[in-house]
Amino acid sequence: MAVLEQGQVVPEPQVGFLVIAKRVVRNYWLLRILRALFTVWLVATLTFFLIRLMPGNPVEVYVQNLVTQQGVPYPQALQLAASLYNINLDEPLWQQYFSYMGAMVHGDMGTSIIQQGVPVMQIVLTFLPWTLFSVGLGLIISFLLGMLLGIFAAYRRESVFDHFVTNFSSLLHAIPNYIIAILILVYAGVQWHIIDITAMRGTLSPGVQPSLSLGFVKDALYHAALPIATYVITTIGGWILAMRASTESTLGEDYVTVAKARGLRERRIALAYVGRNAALPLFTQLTLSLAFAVGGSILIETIFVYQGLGLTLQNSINQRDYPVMQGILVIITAVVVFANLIADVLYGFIDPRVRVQGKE
Amino acid sequence: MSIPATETGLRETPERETVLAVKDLEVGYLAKRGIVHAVRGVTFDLKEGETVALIGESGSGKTTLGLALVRLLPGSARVTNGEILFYTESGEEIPVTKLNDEQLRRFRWQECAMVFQSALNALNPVMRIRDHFKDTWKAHVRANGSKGDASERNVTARAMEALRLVQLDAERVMRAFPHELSGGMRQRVMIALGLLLRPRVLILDEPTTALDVITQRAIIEVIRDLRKKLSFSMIFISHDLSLAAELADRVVTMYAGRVVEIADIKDAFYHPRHPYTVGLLRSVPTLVGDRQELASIPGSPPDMIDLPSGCKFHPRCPYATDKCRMEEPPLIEVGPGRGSACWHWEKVGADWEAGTNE
Amino acid sequence: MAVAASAPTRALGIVGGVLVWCGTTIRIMARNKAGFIGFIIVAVMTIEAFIAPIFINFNTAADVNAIYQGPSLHHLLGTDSEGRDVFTQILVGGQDILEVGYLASAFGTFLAILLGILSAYAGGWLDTFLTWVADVFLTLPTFAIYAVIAGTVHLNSNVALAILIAVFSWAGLMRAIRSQVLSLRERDFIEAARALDLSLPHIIFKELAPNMAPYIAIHFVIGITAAMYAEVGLLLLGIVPLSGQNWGVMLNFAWTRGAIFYSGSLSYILSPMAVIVIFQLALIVWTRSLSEVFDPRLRRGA
Repeated sequence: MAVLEQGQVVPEPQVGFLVIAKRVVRNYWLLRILRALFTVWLVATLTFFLIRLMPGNPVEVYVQNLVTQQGVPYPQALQLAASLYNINLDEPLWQQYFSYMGAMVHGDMGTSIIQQGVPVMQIVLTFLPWTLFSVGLGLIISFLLGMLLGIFAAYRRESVFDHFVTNFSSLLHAIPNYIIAILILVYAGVQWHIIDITAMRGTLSPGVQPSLSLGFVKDALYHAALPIATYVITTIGGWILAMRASTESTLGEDYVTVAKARGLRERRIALAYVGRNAALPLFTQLTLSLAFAVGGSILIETIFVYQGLGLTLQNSINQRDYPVMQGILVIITAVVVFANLIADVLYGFIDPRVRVQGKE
Repeated sequence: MSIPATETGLRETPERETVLAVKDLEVGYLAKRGIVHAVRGVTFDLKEGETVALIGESGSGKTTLGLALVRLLPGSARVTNGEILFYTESGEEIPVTKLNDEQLRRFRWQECAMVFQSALNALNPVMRIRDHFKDTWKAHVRANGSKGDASERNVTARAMEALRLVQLDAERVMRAFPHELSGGMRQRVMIALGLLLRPRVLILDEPTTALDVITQRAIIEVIRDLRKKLSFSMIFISHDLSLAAELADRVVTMYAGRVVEIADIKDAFYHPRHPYTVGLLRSVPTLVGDRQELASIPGSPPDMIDLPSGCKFHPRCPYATDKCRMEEPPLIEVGPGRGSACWHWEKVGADWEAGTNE
Repeated sequence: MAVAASAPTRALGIVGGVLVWCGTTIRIMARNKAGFIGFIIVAVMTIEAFIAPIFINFNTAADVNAIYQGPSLHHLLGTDSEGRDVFTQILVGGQDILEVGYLASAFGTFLAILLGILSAYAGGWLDTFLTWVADVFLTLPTFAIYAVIAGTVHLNSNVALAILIAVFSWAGLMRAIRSQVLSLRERDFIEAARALDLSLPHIIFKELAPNMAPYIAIHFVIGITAAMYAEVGLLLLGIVPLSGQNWGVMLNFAWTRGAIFYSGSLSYILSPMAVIVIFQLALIVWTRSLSEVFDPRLRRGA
């Protein structure tokens, strides 16, 4: 370095600086992964004790039903319950807990009560892709479109477009997603007959097999259209408002003024200077939005009869199929948590400052 | 009103061309209480290779004037009168206030670059320094092919050269993100970026205020060094007379949006003819020789919406008379190439000379 | 004597003070028209929801001659699948929903304040741990968890449901309060209070609480909307026991009894959805004006 300024901490290239940076980053990611695992563990533990310990818990009820209603001898009933829930009821509770967790680590979550003998994992893996597809696509569309409209609104502040978009966004933001879903059904389906809601049910039309063909993609999109539309409509308002506010404050940043002084083209400034920086805080909100949308998929999929994990969860709750409920909840949590982890990694690529310091 | 520079012959070197001429410029901000008269009828010019320092307290209109020169005023500001004329190397006259958006965009940075006081936040935090240079280059070079080609290698070479000129480790800085650089380094990068397109004029708006004293020194040294190596004209905006003394050829003192004194750097320091300049000098410790007592100017800058009558400085001026309270003085020619907007400039000058000769 | 005489006077003074405070607050709120309308709607609907069940005795008897009638003078919002008046159901059906909404938000807010202040004041490993747990709770797919818990354990009271919702909805506010306390702690007046050796409760209730009131109030109102979302969702899915009459149960019936797919039942489906949306919108519009009430700087600017 040609000039060293005193009183300034100038990171030395290569030697100390990089090593420390790497260590911090590694530590940061280690922490994030630990937290992700902790979250999944928490939910798995919660469901175990919920099913095993609560008064009138499903295992007890199941055993009692077998004994009193079907005349099954108590030890045999216990054994049946044990095989179903993947736990050995003779062991002390803590041992049951550890073998339950151990099995789960190996991907074994017991078998379904209703579909006798079908492993929970198999059920989860059958329906998970559809939920990931619909929720994921819905959120991505909403996020991108919302950011675009938000930037436009901020650039045309106080215009008719801005007023319309912000008011409409506030309105959409205040309406629960299941109400939007029901309104779509009632108006588009029943009152105006725009769409054939019965044909759109399920994840694929009869006879269509998953393949890499255009026909399959089209059919999958056709069936997912209503859930996706609902996710977009209910989340886009939030993105627009957030992006508008973020853009407004970014427009006041010095580097934007300087970019203008540098004679950059307006479009280049809007994209690389305003847009990119304004989008940063929204990425952290993506986390919350994802958890919310996945949690809410149970409502949306039930209303549209879209055979994803949410509808399967609702059915298992109605049928008191506890192992399936348990398995789906743990997997949903794992998906949300690891999607967040991926989002964090991606965030690190978009915001160089995170690579060194971690997020807070 | 103000005397046009040409009439007073403010500079005795007629062979030097004028690069920038500001004529009777007025800028107002629309505020809730009324109009803020930030710049009121300012006239001055800048010659080729010359450095003019714009001096004044905060609120004197010097930053507004700087922003107006490249038309970067905020939305609430309006240029209500006057013109800004810029002359290119080929002698072409550019009326800055009348440019359309695309002409303005090309004019900025290519003819007139500006380094801002907010050194810490002037660079896009998510872009490497290298990309800042590329962006700037691409925005201008493609627009008119005359200044060179836009090839990657060419940009890098020019950027590295500019970075070396401001005494930075070019290789490393090019790769860095803004947050990896210290405040002083970032300000050097901004200066290098300003020189990338070899503009005729560089405006420096308090380039060192956000930095600590030692870094300030280093930056000033860099600028002095650049002035020796490259031929560009410079407008140096500062509230600090001592910094101006190190860089400027001429000092334009501003008060309440108006030019109150124009003088060569030596005259401004050793023979001031305006009580406000005198006040500023008295508040600077080192440069006034052995003068012991250090006095700050009594009172505070005027309310820019509801300005006082007559001379705007009269409420704080020891020389104020009824005439000052009634009538605003024009920029009076008080010597070859210099002007003072004071009714009592002769008395001020006499008192000053008497004081320093004691 | 002196004490006896001063007690009523003091009580009067306090009542007067409260009245003046209420008056000022309402006057400030009235300046923001939309916000004030929101506040009025929230207040009227809340009072109505809790008073209506006392006076209106909902007739549960079915009337087969009046199934899914449109709006008329006799039935302002038409009738349901059993020919019962929809308007009456809307009037009496708010109590459960609002009760759970207010309670859940109150519990959650309380938990958030407690943990937030504890975390900020304790510092060290407890602070690290609590913020960590808060981050974990922020990423949970809460609605799915509510559904599974409510599907496993029988939640037959509004309080139980409110507690369930509250347990999973404190994290956001807790983090906001924690950082507020941390930043307020740095400010001069807290320093001064500490230099004067004032007690911790004094600092918390006299110095910190007034400064955090805006955050808490706004989060409380937003908490109501979140709790209502969860509660009505659970009712819609039929996961919590469908006892009594409320807007959520109406939605569930509309769904399970096929009213959604019957074009003649529009007013029955739209009515509960409309009141829910109106209430939620009113709450949100009101919160916007709340920040103005609490922030004198915003007040003057407007």
